[in-house]
Amino acid sequence: MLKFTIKRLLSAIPVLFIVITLVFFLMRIIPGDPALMILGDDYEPEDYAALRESMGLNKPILQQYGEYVFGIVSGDWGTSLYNNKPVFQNIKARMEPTILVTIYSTIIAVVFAIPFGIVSARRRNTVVDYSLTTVSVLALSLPSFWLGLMLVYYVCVRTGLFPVQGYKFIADAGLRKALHCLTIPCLVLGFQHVGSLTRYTRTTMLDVLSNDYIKTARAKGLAERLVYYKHALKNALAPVVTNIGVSIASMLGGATITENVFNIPGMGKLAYDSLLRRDYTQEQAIILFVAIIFIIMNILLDIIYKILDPRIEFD
Amino acid sequence: MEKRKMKTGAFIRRYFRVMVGGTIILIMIIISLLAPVLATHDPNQVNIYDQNTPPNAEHRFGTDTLGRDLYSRVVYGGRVSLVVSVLVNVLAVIIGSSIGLVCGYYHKVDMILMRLMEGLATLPTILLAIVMVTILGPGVGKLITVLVIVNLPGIARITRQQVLSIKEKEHVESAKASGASDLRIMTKYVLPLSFSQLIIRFTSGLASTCLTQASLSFLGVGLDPRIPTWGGIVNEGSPMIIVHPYQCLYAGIALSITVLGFCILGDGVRDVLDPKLRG
Repeated sequence: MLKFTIKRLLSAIPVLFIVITLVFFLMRIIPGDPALMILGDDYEPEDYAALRESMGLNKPILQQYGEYVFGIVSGDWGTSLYNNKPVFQNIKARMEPTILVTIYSTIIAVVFAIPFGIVSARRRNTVVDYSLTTVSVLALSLPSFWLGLMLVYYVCVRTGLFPVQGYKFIADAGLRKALHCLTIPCLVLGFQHVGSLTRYTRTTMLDVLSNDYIKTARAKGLAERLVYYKHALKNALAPVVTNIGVSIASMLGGATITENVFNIPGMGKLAYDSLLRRDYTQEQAIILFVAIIFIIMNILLDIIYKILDPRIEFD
Repeated sequence: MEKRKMKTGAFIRRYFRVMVGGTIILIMIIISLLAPVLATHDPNQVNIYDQNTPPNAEHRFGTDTLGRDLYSRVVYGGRVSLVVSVLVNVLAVIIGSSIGLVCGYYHKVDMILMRLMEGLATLPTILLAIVMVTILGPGVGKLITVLVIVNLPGIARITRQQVLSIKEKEHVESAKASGASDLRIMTKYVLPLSFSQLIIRFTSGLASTCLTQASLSFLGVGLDPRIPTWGGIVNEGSPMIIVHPYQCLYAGIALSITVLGFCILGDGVRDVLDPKLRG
């Protein structure tokens, strides 16, 4: 197990390196001069020269790249061009709502989707199955930004039960208030994940149910309930957990669309706002940060998968 | 007679979802093609005397803050979504499968290209798309380029896996033994066997591309704001959601129906081509 973990960690290093390289060059292919974009139309030549100097833009590109990689590795991710704070500090300030949104909507998704998926597989090709499948296709088809806006009007405005937009930090208003603000956005996000997770659980269950050991279990007269929950579910769990993990990883990067619709000051909103402000160092840091979370999550998932299903081998 | 009837029944059952999804998309395509006939107004005609009018006899879906007729805008709004969704997936499948094919075939290329694809796959899709679109600037061609790039890693990975297993098959061995060139083996003996997977990936990609494109328009990036798109219409209506919810309503419904059509079509095609996955 330890050997597996170490091997998996080492294999992440080249990917990480490639991501850093991609992010660096992604931000350098911007047509025109980033310094000019920051200064706008009205600027003094001295300011321009000073800014280029401070941004390190007049060094050769390879040297810039080297310094960038060195900075990342040594923990210096740069300062925001917008508010001059270290980019990491800005990210940290936006972590709270994003983490809450992730946990809250994952709970919503899991609570509904797993039972839905199991029932759908058990009652395959019945009315129950068809209606649950329809719900999950609908969940995948409704655009989250539109669904969010519709809920804002038909639930928040009409009933007044939930705030229309915005977020209250735990430190200011307490956890209950914070979760109260996030309920509708998390329903929107959770609903989407209910769609994919229900389908996934159903397919995985059906896949497992077609195995020979299930036939054996049934042949020896085991109660159908036990066949489903003890023999089938246990084996279907590993891929389902992985699927949940991947969606957690993508949500931790900030739900850009949902956070914008509901004006939640999370990572996704920061990513979008930084782009509008042409705050490239901040944007670079966010993309890299999200990618690193994704890589770490994937390693964790592989390890969890290995624990749940020791038969699996990764090359 | 009896046998013939059964056959029709089986045929309908087999292709039911393909037909339902296909019909929805066909209707959407027809509406988009007939947009100039169906529209009652110029979709970009600003009318300051007729702002924020709720749906009525003249403006079926009402008007927006600039007084533009929303019905006409919604009718025109599908054009970009449909064209972009189809084109992006056609291009992504062609380029992505070529990358996957070469990677699966040549180990050395695999080391470099596939690692690059892995790195690209790690970056968050929607964020990557927003950043690239902002960098490149607005335009249908640029939008398509960005969405193709975002779709590449997935398709390349599927093809590569397929190629790795097909490569070991006997018919490839025998082609190699009889002296066929690499290119001939790849295109004649390996690629055709992964066609069904690629078609599945193509149809299932339509729905997600349609949604991503709409999300980008909703965020106001990617296209000239004068081009009516469903995502863009919802975006323009969103500040008015509390007082004039109808401004967002209809464009969203049109978009949802289209994505639903693509989803059902994708599921149907997958069921037909890959019975193993059928529920």
